[in-house]
Amino acid sequence: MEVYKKLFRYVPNEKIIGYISILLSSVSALLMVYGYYEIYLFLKEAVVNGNYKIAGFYSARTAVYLTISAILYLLSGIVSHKLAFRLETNLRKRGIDGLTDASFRFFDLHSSGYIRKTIDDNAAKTHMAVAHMLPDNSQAFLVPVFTLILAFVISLRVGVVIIVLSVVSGLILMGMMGNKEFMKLYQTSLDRLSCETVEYIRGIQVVKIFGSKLKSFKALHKAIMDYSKYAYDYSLSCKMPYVIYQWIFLGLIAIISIPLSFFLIDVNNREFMAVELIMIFFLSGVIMVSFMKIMWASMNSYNANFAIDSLEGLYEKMQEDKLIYGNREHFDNFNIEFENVSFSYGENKVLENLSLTLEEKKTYALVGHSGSGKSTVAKLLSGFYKVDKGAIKIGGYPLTEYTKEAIIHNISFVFQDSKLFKKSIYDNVSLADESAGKEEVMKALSLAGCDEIIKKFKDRENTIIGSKGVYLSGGEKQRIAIARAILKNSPIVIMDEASAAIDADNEYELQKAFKNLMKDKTVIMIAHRMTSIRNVDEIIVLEKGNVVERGNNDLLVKKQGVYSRLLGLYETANDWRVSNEKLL
Amino acid sequence: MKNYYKKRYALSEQGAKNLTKATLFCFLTYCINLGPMIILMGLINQLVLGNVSSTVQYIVMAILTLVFMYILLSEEYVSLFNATYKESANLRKGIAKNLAELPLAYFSKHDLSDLSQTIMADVDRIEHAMSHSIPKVVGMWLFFPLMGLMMLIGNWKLGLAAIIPTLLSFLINPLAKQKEVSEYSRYFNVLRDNSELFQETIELQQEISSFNQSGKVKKTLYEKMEESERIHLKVEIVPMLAVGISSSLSYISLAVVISVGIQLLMHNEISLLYLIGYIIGAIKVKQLFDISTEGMTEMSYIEPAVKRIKEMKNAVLQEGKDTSLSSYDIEFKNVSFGYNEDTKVLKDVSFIAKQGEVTALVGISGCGKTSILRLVSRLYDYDKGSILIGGEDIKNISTDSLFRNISIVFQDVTLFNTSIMENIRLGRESATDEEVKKAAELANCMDFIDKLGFDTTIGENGAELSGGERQRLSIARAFLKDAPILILDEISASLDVDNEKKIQDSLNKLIKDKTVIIISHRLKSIENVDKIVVIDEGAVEISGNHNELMEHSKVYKNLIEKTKLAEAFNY
Repeated sequence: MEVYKKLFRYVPNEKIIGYISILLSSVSALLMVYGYYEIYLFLKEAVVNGNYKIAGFYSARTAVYLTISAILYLLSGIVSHKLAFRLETNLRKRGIDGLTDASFRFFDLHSSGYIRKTIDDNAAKTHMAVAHMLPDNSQAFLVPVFTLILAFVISLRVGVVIIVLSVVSGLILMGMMGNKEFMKLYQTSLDRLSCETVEYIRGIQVVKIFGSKLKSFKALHKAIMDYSKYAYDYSLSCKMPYVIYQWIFLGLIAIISIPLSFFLIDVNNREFMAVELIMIFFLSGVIMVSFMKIMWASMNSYNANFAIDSLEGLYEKMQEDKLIYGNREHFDNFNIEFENVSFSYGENKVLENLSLTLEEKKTYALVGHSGSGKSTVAKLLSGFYKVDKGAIKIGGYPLTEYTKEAIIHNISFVFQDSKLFKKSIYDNVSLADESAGKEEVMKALSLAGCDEIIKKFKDRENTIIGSKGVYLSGGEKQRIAIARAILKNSPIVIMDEASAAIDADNEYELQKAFKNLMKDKTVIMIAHRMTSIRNVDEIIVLEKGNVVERGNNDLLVKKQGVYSRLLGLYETANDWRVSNEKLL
Repeated sequence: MKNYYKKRYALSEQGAKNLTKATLFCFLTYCINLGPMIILMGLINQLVLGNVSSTVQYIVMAILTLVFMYILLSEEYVSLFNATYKESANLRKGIAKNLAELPLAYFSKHDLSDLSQTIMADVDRIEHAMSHSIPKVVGMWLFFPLMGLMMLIGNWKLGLAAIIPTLLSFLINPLAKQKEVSEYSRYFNVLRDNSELFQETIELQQEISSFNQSGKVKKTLYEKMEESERIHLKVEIVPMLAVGISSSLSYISLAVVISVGIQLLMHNEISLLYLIGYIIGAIKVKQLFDISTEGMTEMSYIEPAVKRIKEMKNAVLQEGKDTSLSSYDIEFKNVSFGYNEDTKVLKDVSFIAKQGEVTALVGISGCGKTSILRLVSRLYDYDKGSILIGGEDIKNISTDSLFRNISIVFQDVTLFNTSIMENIRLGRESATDEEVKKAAELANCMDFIDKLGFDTTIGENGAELSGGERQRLSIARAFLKDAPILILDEISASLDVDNEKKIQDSLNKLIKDKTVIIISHRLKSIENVDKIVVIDEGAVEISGNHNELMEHSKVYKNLIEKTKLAEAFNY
């Protein structure tokens, strides 16, 4: 029931379709068992009364009821499919909503592949489960109930046999589910198997290169064998109840026949007893099939539940980090203040109680080791992160008090992994300011050093990114991203300077482009090349999430502290050469 | 049947055999179902027609039936699960071995976590179908003709009435499935497009948010979802109806039998006992059919899983013989290569990297340097020309013997969730603890190992370690392996200055007397190497030492000048 409620929440407008499907299938179940009742009447007429004409009449009625029942079931299935389609679409839409609302922390923590797969797979799974669940579940549960009633309508004896059978077999099946200990072992070994598989596959490249196949395979091999053993043990632990359950159902007539054979001679209403026996044979089969269907149905429900839980888990994580906006539309000034800011990735605390003030129209460079928190400080300023504690203020007010539009309009950022839309180069830039004319867009491209890139292609600025034969290196993409930021012309610019992963040609072009972007702005940059930041207004040195030094280059060099040590290391590393002993 | 299973579900010899056995037990279990029916007929014969049988006869019959039934049911159960779990273990092991033999290009093309999840889920699904569906359904296919034949022999008219609805049900299902498969490929394209769009949207999230594109993107995606729902509905309506009709037929099967039966009875073509017998038979057929419907559905659901596993089994393996090399010059002769057929990444590349020398590849991003390294290490295989190591074409050298001679230190390092000791020992399994420690020292790892200890487990993919520490561990592996050929791929690209210096120091120790190929963006670092090969747009522009190139290479000179400019640059 719980699972229905959960599912229907996502199709508020089409809920009624779901109810119709359940209703159709319930009526179908009722008519079906009523059809069986007609079969009973048929048998009674044919066997007890020997009135074949009336029996013929009942057989026709049976055909009518069963046909209607079949048609209703079919309709129920069609309706439930319709609902399932709607549900799948809506679940995906919810995913889309969540994506556009979630903070960037969510995307930092979850790979795009994982997010896509979770939404895609589970939406499809829910569809599948629901399409079958609605018509089948209600039948699975209602048919045995109606059948029991029918059994009692036929005679007390038939009723008692069927109810005893149901209760006994039900209890046996419950006993089957009871093996918690085995179930736990089984689950753990399954989890381990899954971990080992992931690790094994990840390691294959390395394993191959080092030629040590056996070792990592050993761990996986053990996990596989353990799983197989526990699964087999688990299934064997269920053997007894399941075998007995089937044995009782399939052998029912044989079981009954043993005591019955002693009294056969003295039976009064022999013909009626024959009908009773046939009906017991028939209805016990119906009950058995229903029990099987209940098992499949609970598997369906379980699958649906699991799929929807996975989705909701993901959506919840998106919502957890949902960004909050206010209604302040203008910034009084662009002074920036971190006020006791704490921020973490899961368990991993990156910033704790960081306080920091930055003045507008100045250029700041953030310096520190990886893990020092410098990129986090820059990222948080983008306005698309939610801090755990404290506040980031710009112009005297926390970011959460501004409208989304105000933040987007006033803050630009260019990080290393800039991505481009599958549109033309021109459109990729112009989307930063839709009111901009062609001249402005071209000027931004030019300022970002993209003239050279455009020249490479036949279609120039109309070249579609990602189309056949269009290759752009990381540095080139970043330059187009800078052009975009230049056109946007926000007063605050946050940027991640090119790292060493870039070739010299690109690096120099990028430096020039960044310099054009920075003009007259409040700039916070993550510095990698220590030599290029000598002239910035202030250098901020971070260590373990704290500001350990700040000041301009000269001041920090004189201080002989962390900065000057880093600078020294940088220079030696930069001057290092591969040396071959032979040459020396 | 064994061969059918083996081919159909990509099973092992043993697995197919076990599954066949399980199927036979299922079939026999269906057969023993005839026992109670015969008893029931005897009872009715006595009750309705007064043909008395003795009590002993009933009891013997009943006990025999029950005993056999019990034995068969438990044998069936054991054989089902025995077959399943043994075979799923075989399947998993087979897949694991198979994966290890696949060309590395396969892993470059497939997302790893995706791959492992898919495989896990696929085997799970097949496992479930093997224990719950396949043998039962196939057993049913065997039993049904037997039952049908018996009924047809008794009275063909009534026999037909009892069989036809079920038979139609059986036939409609596969027909519907065929239709579904062809229709589905159309829907699949829509699905794939949507998937790509989704992926792109997630990847572009930063850009979408910061340029206020959310509204637009949302609208496009919403429309796409609606459209795919419409197509999906269209695609599924036919198979859905077919499946529905198929199960409806089972609903009315009993009505058909009694309607036809009563007519025949009135025309005195059959006796009452006959009619009852057929009704009982029809009841049984319906019951068995109803039990197997879900199984049949499940069997069609596992098709894609089976197909994926088969595909992997059939993937082209990299060939080559075990070869022991005596010299280690690497020679590229007119090599051409492209990741796909349209674009050539390398054109006619020729150069030699001599044993005992350091050869550096230089060029702007995207010129093809990294592709050259990938070809040497057979992460991909070249299209044209030849690559020789010690005079042998690498395509003729088995990957095992090739990798015995090559150490590669990549930008990103894969670590295992074991101790630091074991992670380094991966370089050479036979290495003693002492040797591992020595390698760790040479790779400048001791500062962090002293803190953590050699026996510390480093978490999934070495999550506990920083980028620089990971890199040094991988250099330690290379020290331990001490292969004659060393490939270094831009290894100091993403590190901090602190680590970088340490890594560079260990590298200088590592490269002694080897054939070394190195890529580095930091031109200064390779100034002194024996040979620099300048790559421009996928072709070798020129090669030589630093001084020669400064005179003759436009590309190299430009890069050096730009480096100076970038170094002198001030924001």
